[in-house]
Amino acid sequence: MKAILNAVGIRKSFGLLCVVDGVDLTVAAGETVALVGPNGAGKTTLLNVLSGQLRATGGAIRLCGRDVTQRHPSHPDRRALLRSFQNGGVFGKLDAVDNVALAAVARGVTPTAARTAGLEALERVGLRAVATKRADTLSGGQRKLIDFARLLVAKPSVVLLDEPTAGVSPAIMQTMRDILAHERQRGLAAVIVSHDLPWIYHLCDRVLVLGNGRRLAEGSPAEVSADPRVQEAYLV
Amino acid sequence: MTLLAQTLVLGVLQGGLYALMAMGLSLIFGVLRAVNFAHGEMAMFGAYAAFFAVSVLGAPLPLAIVAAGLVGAVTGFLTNRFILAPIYRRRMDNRDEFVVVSTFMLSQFLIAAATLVFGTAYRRVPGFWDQNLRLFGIIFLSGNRLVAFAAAMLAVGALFYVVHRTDVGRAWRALTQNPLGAASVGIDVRRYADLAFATAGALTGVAAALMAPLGVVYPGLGVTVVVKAFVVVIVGGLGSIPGALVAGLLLGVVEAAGSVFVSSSYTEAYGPMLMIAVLLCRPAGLFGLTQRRV
Repeated sequence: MKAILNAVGIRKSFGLLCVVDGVDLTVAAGETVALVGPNGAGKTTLLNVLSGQLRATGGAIRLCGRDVTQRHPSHPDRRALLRSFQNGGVFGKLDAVDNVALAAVARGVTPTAARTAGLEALERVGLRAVATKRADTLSGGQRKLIDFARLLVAKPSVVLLDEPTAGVSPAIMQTMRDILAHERQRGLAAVIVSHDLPWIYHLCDRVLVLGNGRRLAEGSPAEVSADPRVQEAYLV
Repeated sequence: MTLLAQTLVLGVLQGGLYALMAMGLSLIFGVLRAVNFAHGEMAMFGAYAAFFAVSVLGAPLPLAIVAAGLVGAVTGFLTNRFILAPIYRRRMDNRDEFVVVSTFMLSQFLIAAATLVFGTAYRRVPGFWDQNLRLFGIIFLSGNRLVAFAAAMLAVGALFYVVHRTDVGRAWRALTQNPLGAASVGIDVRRYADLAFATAGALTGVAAALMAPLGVVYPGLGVTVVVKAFVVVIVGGLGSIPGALVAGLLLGVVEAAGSVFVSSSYTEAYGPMLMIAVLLCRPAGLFGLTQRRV
């Protein structure tokens, strides 16, 4: 299958502290990879390096065949990638619909079409009623759904989601799962960091387990769950 | 009572120009977290553009103001493209220090270049409306100040419209609130930074052209401008455009009141005094955020 995101030998150090140490990660079109591991394993740092928020100390990242290792997150070569943040990436002083429409505007969609697409996406995630409310008045779960509405309008090739289900209701988790399942049919590749193992195992094709910044195990949810190294590290 | 009303009106008229002058500085800080010490030189070039448009080309004053805005916009755009963008592109850890030093050095270079090219002579721009007016029979004011204030408020209104009603403004606000989030959504930081600098330069150039008939044009003009603009931006809250408007008007009123009721010898000191007073009560300024974002 065609690799959308291909990261080889990723290293990230802060001074003498090596947080991510030689991790390889390849995600194909339509594939969902779960990134799990105990706290401090380097999961969010790896996402930050993959999305360009942090510069890799070593290794190479290719996105849709282009080398984006040193590219800024807003570089055009990175438009095929969208990411969400653990603490939310919404713009609190903008309306919900503007938060979503900006992702389309940034990809060259005209303002009117972007707003229409934004409203449709909010309808899909169940936030149509709060479209004109300021994002900082929404609940934590609703803010996380804004990331999913952006996903619908931006139509990226790969999405990096950091703890999307943290603190959200089962209904919202189901909405997220439905959207991801639908988007993968059009070829969306996804890397999802989550501590909610039943939710993520149900969704993903493959699991990459990190421990102390290194690859601890990789395989299907069943293989990883049975791996004694993983159980020793944190699952049991 | 008449003196108080007269002072208030004078202060508001002057304050509107201060606000316009400072809004670009605030916009740039909001969008890029960049402190631009060369902001005053955009004003200086704008004022010279107005002077040459009127004196050499014989252009009418409204056209001279447009020329000042264009020259300011080009100066701002070039400042970002050739001085700041290379710093951001390298993604240095201590980029803020490099921005401060490089814009300060750019400011010194532009003053020296302007001195070399334009000379040190004080230039005068003719007035918009050389008429003394009487408001409600008790308040005297100059037609030039009234026209300058009205034009400044038009420019301020245009900026507010862009910031709150257009996608460019929404992208600027997104960058102001959450730069990393904005970049992750795909907002082209470089493009919107170019636009912010060009807009800031245009506003500052227009402000300088509007103020030119009320004073003189010379190479060191920008130093006065940048000091006033920093006072306004700090009092209003770094990065806050409504804050810059309120603080600009407040600075104008405080300067006018101080000059009338205390002494006109200390006019240049009232601004810094206001800034210290506001910072003691509200360290982030009147409309500033109480904590710095990541």
